[in-house]
Amino acid sequence: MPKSANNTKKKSPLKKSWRRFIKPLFVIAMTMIAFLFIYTLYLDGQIRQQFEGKRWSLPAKVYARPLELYPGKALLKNELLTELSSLQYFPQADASVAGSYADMGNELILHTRAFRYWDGEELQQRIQIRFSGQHILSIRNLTDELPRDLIRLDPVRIATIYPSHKEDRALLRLNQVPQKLVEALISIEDRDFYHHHGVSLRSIARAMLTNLRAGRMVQGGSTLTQQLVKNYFLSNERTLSRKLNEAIMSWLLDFHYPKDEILEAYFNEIYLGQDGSRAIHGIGMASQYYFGRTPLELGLEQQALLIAILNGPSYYNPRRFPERAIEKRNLILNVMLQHGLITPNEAEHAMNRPLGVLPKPKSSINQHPAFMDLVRRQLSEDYKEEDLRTEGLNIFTTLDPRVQAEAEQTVASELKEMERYYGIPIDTLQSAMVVTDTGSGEIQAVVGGRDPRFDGFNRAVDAQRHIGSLIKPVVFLTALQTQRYHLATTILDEPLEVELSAGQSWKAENYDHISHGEIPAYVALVNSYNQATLNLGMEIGVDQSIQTLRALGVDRPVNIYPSFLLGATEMSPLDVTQVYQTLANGGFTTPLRSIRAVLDTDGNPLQRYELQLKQAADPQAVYQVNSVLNLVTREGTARKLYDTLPQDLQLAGKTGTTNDLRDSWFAGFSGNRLAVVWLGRDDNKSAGFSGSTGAMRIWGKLYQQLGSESLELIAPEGISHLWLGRSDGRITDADCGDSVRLPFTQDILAILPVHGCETNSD
Amino acid sequence: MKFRILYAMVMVLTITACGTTPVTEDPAIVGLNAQDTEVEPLALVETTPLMRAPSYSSNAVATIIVNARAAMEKGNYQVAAAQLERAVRIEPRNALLWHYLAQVRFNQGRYSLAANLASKSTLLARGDQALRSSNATLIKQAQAAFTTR
Repeated sequence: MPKSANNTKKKSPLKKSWRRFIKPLFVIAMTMIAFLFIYTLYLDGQIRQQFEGKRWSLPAKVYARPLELYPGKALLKNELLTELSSLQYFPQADASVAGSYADMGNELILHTRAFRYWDGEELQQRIQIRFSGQHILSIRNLTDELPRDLIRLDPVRIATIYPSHKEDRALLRLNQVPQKLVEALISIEDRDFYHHHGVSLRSIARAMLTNLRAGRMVQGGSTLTQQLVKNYFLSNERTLSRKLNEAIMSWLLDFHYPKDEILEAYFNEIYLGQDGSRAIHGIGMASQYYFGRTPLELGLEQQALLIAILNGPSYYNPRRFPERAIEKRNLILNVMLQHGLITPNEAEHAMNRPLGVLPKPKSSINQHPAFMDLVRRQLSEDYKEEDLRTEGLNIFTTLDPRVQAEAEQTVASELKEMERYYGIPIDTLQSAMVVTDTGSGEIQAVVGGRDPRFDGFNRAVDAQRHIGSLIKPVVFLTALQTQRYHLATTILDEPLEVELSAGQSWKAENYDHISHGEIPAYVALVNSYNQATLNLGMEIGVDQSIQTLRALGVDRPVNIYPSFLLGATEMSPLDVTQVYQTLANGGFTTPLRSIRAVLDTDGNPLQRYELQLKQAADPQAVYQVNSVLNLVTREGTARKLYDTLPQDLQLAGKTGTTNDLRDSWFAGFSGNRLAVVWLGRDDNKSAGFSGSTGAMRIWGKLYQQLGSESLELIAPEGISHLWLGRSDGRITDADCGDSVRLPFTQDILAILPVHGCETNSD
Repeated sequence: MKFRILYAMVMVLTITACGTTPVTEDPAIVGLNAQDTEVEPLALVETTPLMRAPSYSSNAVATIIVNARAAMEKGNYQVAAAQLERAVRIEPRNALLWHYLAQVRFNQGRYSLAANLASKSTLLARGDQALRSSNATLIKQAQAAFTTR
């Protein structure tokens, strides 16, 4: 022992120094292990937190109104085809797949998509739609051969409210991914997926060998789990520390979660393309984006193409590089054949198929910024910005894509044409428009300026301009509601000087600088006489007219001086729309709505924006005003509308012009639709147009483009129609020639002398 | 409470009774009934016509009314209202729909809205005296309920 001790002692210098190091080394190693352990715990926490909570920030999807189809619906086949194209439906001989149609002349075979609405799910079905003239004649389900009364298509997506990174995805369950696609992906990307623990040394070795043989990088050794981790948690840098993180996290993910859950996450996370600033993630969104279908409806060749694309979404972009994509797709099909996933027949058939990719859809980031601006104002009252960006809400709006498209187009082309025709400097005119469905008060379209894609100053909502003669129906409504006036009451169209509070006086003049003396009240409105309107308004009091305006739905501050009576008060096109909506609706005010409902990401209803209704004005008085607004289009300031519109179409409307032709307005409605148009300049200089030469021209063009339903005013109880002689001013119970048919209340008729024609010669 | 239940019964009866009245009286659609699927379709108008005939809804609105009634019987007024608003979008001038909507709101205890909806129904009802008097009754009851609440 001593010897050996001696021996040891002899070797001691070396051994001693080794011993000196072993302890620190041990400490360092232990520290590193402890550090690694703690770091792993940290990563573990991170992974579990992310993976167990909400896995993705889902953008809110904003939809247009769905198109309702029913026998009797006024709809042209062309209009349906346009809607189908916006929805990325594709033509297919037998329409065997949801999202396809076959056009067969007077009928259409349509295979609709399923969609979850506020009041339940619309099922996918294969139907035959027959058209007759301007209507849908019949709808028949081709599976049970029974007629259908009502079908709702899926809605066009018009905007998306994104988180900062603009990732777009449609989440799926694993059972919503085609089995072949799953098998093909695993056999190509990660053969040992079901056996490894997140990281596969075998596949790394295999990849290294392949790469050595090839002399370059041709294969990656990453498992699907690693690819998911890389996409989901990590940046794209290629460093050793990232590789280490990736390996640890993959192992942890595999440790905590079943393989199928990891696979499902992979299919939802994977990046598959770029649409402008919008990133397409996941198989669900990619199927929609490239093929207009759900994954389960994809053909074999389309499934193979998706695998090709995920290998390099920009390199194999099938829209930009079709040959490259088809080559890679066929390579994938070959591998599937080699692995026995498909038969040689299937492989051959699929390889001979075209790519099957649809034309790039219109961007769904924000197609109609002016309308969306309105939607967001409404949403911000009920939702937090953060929730809008991340909770995957489904927002159903009232936008009618056809009306919106025509409105945008009409404004842009008419302004251009007017500038050209009148030699006005290019791009100096501006315009705004709001279109509503009169029955429901739903906003169908908003145009915020001549460039419909410009997401900035929204003139439809934020431009505040004098409304000129658009105020006159409000003044006449006020007078009629007092029951002291009727449409034949004589009023004075003579100059009137009005004292303003500051001791100044103000004198109104007619547009044509002519005074017309004593005239029946309706004539003043038909021809938009300023002096007569001012006289009438002063008789009943400015306050009274302001109160009427308030009742009709305007709550912004107004000018309280007599010039209010001639429209020297600022309002936005949207405010004006609210006023005329109430008139078009017979005196019932409905707050204008741009949203119908909001659903959560799973399709559960969160909120519905209901139809509100309040009687705001006396229906008899409103009916009388509307009758005169109808006369405005027949013989008054808006009669030029019939230069382009058919004579048997009934309309009601009012022109508005402000001092020095700064603002040109037109507000008018047909049987089903109201539109308010403003035209002017942003710098508030003279634009050079009156209501009828400027805004009305745009209005008329829009109604021409859309085709209009005739206005049919429904007389409330207690209204009778009589004739007023234009030259003698006599009220008669029949048309005695040169007379105009006007409505009167029975209370007024009780005190008015009514004549017959025979007394006409007196 | 008793009164509400009583009203619900009256209302269900009214709906059942009214359900058989014609949905529209527009003379323009006579002969263009949806059941006439044997009629040879006319040639399609390819360009947008300047004047459009309005939609006429045969069975679509009737179907919705059936659904709305079912929802209402289950006390699911929210769904009933949503359904009826959908019908109103299809046929905004159908006085009956506004009346049904008024009934739903009445049952929800939203008396002011109910009375306004009934007034709108009356405005559109033209010569339909039965509907006018149903609306008048509803408005009177709504006003009474509103003041005693």
